[in-house]
Amino acid sequence: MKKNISDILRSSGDKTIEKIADSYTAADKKTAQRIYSKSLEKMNISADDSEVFTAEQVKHSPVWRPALIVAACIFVICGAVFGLLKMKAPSPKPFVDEPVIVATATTVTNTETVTAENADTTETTAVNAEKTDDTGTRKVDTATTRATAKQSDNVKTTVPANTNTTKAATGMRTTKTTAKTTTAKPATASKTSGTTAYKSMTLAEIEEWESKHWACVMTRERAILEGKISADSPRVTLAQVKQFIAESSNFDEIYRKIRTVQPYYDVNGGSGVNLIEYWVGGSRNDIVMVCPESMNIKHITCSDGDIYGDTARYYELYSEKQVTKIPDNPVKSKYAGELTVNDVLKLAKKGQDLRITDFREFCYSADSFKTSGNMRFIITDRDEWYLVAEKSGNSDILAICNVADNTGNHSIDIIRTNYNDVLKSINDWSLSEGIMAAHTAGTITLDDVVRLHNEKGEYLDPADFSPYLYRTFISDNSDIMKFRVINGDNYKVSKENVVYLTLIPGYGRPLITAILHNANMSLTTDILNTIDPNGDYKTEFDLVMALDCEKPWFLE
Amino acid sequence: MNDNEIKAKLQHSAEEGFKALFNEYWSYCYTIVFNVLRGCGSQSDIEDCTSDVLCDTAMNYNSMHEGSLKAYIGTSAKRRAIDVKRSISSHTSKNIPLEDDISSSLPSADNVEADTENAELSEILLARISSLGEPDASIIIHKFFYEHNSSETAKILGMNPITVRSRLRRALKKLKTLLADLDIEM
Repeated sequence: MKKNISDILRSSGDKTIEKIADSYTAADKKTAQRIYSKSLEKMNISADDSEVFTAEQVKHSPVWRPALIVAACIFVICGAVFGLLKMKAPSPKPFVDEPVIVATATTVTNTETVTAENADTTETTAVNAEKTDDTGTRKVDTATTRATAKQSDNVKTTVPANTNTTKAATGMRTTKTTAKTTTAKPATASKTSGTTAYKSMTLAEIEEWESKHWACVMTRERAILEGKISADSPRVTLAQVKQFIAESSNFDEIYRKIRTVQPYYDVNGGSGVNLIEYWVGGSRNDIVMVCPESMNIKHITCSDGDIYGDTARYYELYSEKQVTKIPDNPVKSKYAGELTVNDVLKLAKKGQDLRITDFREFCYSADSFKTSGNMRFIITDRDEWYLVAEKSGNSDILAICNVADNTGNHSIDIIRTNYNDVLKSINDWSLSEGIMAAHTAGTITLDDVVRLHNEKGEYLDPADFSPYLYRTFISDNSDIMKFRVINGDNYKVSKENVVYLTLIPGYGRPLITAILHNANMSLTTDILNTIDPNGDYKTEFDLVMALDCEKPWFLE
Repeated sequence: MNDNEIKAKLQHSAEEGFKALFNEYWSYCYTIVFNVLRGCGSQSDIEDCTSDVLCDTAMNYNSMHEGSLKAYIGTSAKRRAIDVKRSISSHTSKNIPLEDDISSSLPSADNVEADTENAELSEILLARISSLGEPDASIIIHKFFYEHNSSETAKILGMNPITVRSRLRRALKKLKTLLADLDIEM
């Protein structure tokens, strides 16, 4: 078997590959530049590795360590002293800067009750403890956290009056700490809302969502809940997806890049296939859906969070062309079964005795066999031929049993028509189909057709037509030979019809028939067989040519 | 630049050394990687793998080693490319046929004869292609090995695409005569 150069070079041994690698430049300068840049990038990353950094630290640390330790100690001591002084000093103003007091509790001297009202619904609770002069206490403001408020909810606390001074001091310390926290809180909150404003879902919320959306798993939310990723971990954007599509050569590459940006997709839905949703807009109203099985990527937008609803709009971003498998029998569902022309002829022989049960063996399955309505069977060895059988009433007798040829638009009832007529029709149709399907073997002028007909008569031989064959046509003397008939000097071909001359080789004599016909065989004229075998040699062709009143269909 | 000079540069300065190494061996490394990853990896995969091999060589190659730098790059390119091929295949859930996977390391006893014959044939073919002279040999290699079209080949060889096409036609005619005794079709 001959081998191809590409195949040989591709499957060469290491030695040859090395020779090629050694002798020929593999790619252009741009590619080389790209590889070089990538390499430098990688080298730079490795240059920042901790190895070098650690070495420097070790080198310098013996010198600086004692000084740093001393400095740290001094700083801690100073801080502690300053803190103590500050704690002892009288507070110039009570802490009232932060108006986050949403519930109050009052401490009363002697045996008063401290109640945290609405504690379970507030962020923070400030306790305003007021004391009278005669008990020697002073006014302080304290803030407690929500948790504390919750605990104190519905609990009666009795505070003796003579212990309030100490309590106030402790309360003061608490106030300072809390004040810092309280003032810091709004700043943090505002920062957070400025960046993501994202609130992760609870397990109950996830489960509720999943129960509402059939066959969907919230992969990203579950990963956040399990601590695998942070709530603000990046999502892939539509622009990124489009960029990946533009710069990648296949689906796998695109999908790999998407997964690199967002390893945990938002939702995996679908049944039978994976419909992976990336919520590029942060919600289910704007998503990119990836289906790895069908290798396509869609952008879906909707206004109500229902990507399968009426408001959903689909835009295909990427679809990989796949090899389409031609089904074994695309029309099987339309047909109950299939048979051959020989089967049809066998059935036709039964004539009136043909029953619906005779078709059972040709059905695809037991379910395909119907005792009511009609059944269509494909005739497999012909193009566009089929058989229709329909039962008559309650008996097994057939009401209809027709063979139809969709190519030639013929039909014949095989029950009521004589077997020989059925056979003749089927042969005629088959011949027409064969002629229509045959390739043109050559061209011949109408003058030559007339001449050969006149010279040879019924002894016309395929060899007489050999000068008109295309050089590429190879005949084994059993093929149909179809010639395109063209204008001669004397006879011009009809402009309305494409005219062919077809020779059908036969046994016993050189040709069974030779007919002039148009493209769809609706017009035919036999130039070989006599009209009346017992009379003078006159063919259909002679007849139409002799007619003065009517112009033959094939002549201009 | 020879291996010793490159090694010396690598010892002296990583960047200078790498530049010298890259200029000398990028095409060699690229070809070996390309041959393994063709039909499996993308252009980007091939480039990444090539840069990995070259970086790795620049950073990890022991400059004091006496061996050939070319052989080191060749072997590490082939191994790295096979790793990448495996990785891509596992990512894309396309399995590499077992025989394909191990073919690089374990020659099958059944195919030794065929492999040897093929290797010999490819060597003869390459020799005859080389005998065409430049740039015809390069044009043929780019067409049949790298599967580049005329414009790509022209870009690489610094020629006009039309010239590449006409030279290719003439080179193929010549090659046909040269390969007349071999059972090879164009």
